[in-house]
Amino acid sequence: MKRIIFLLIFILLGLFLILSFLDKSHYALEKSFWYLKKDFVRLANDPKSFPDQEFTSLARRFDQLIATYPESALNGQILLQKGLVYGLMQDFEAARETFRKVLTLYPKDELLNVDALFQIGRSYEGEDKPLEAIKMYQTITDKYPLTVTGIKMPLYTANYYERLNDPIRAQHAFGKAADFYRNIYEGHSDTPIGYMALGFQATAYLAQQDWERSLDVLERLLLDFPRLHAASDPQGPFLVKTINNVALDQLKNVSRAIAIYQKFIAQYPQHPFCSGLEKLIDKLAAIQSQNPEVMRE
Amino acid sequence: MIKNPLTLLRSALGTLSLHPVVMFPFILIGFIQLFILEILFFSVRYPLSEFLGPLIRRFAGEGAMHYPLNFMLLQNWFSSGWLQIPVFVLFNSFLIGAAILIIDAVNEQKKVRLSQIFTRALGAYVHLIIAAIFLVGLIYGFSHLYGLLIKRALQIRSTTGHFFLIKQSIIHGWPYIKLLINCLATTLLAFMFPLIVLERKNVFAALFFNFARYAKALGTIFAVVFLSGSLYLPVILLKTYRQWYEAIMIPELWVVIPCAGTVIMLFIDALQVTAITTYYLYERESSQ
Repeated sequence: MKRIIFLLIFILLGLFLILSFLDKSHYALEKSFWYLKKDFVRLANDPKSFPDQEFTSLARRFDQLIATYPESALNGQILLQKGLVYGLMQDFEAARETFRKVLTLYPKDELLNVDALFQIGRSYEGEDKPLEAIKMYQTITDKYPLTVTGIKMPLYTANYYERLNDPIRAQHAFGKAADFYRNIYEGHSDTPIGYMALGFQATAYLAQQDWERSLDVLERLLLDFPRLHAASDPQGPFLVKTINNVALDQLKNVSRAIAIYQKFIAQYPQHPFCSGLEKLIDKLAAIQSQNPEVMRE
Repeated sequence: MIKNPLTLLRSALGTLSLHPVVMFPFILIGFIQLFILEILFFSVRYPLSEFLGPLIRRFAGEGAMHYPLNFMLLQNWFSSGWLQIPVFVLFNSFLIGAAILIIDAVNEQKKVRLSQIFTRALGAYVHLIIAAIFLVGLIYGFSHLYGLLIKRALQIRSTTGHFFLIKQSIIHGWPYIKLLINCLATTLLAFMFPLIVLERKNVFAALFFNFARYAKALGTIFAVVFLSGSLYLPVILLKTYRQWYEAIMIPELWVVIPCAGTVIMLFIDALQVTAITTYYLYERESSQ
């Protein structure tokens, strides 16, 4: 029996050694990169409490990683992360230089390019150069409107104006964003990008306090994408809550909310939301009958 | 005296410590589990990624192919039913049969010849497999019933008070109920395996005699299974706080929990099989 047990241990160890030896993937690189990113997060949590040496040492370790695995597909991301380290050090020029290197070395990697451009914009924000930052965000919107980062840029820009305490430009940017998302939606309805665009369009109208138009878009979001609202998806209840808030609190129009939900039930009678919406309609009807003076028919 | 669950467990522990050969089939089960763990560990790396990569991407997404999410995949897949049930049905059933034969040989103070024992267990392999399927089916049946209870609990809307407490207990109590269900199913079919390998009964006759002859022993056996099964509670507790330990431990150490769980489960299995077989042999001798 002892011999067999030793043999089993030998098989397990042997297999471990053989598979480790045969491993040609960049697993070790991924692992090192993950630990370096963990170090980055540690520094990013409170950058002022660390000496500059910590940052330069981390940036050097990113370089060493690239040097160890020069052919890796992850190198663009590693370089990008190195740029972020310079950003933490407030060395924005060095950060931008690194991000531009990403653009030069990996021109075909669309997602990486968007991230690099966005980080260049953020570095300008850090330097209080809003014009340059916004120019960069506009470049992203123009070149990569259908990427996850790209599609967010018009809203991000409008929010950035708000952060800059420039309400006039912010409102103008929200208006521009709403138009942008409307165009995207028209070209990509019934796709996840269309769903995202419609959601952002609603957000832009809400920020402008354009309640009528935001309710129109929210209605379309609910009615046009029923399969995206799975029963367990928290987005669904959030959407219903937003519709209620706009229809009841802002527009004082309960019948509008009821009509939206009735339309949904009529179009998708088997949808998991239906039972909840039926109960909601009853509640809304009760609110309407109790407060007829504030609720329009 | 043997009908006292604690005495039975003490006797089983004594058998295991005096005759380590009884542990041999469980060591083989442990080897199979560690082998699976090793394959899963290397599944995202070349050369295994060439075969297993498409499967992982299809069912767990691209993220699971990379560090550190591969360790989450490892934990999830290692403990998943689709992997563990076939292993239990095809391998564990046979090895449990072998363990019962070893205990019988030890009890009769015969020399344990592993080759003979495995040959004999192989003769009953088909019946052992079907018995294991019955056991899995019973566990699934009970789990399905509890699933219905969870569905009902989810309809409770209270956010405070007794009903909320009931809802929370039903939902969050699932891992503990699962352990209880395993104990219950093991108890109900406890004597099927000894009847198949020791009396060479076919699986249906074994099922019949399991209830016909041993229904009165259910209380004792349940106590034995439940007491030994309780050793698994710390593992369940740790798994409940999985997010917590994943946050503070490095990913490589996440594997320690399922490994420890496997070792503890093997010990529990060995203890239960030995105790049940000891009881069975005692009853058989008493009735002769």
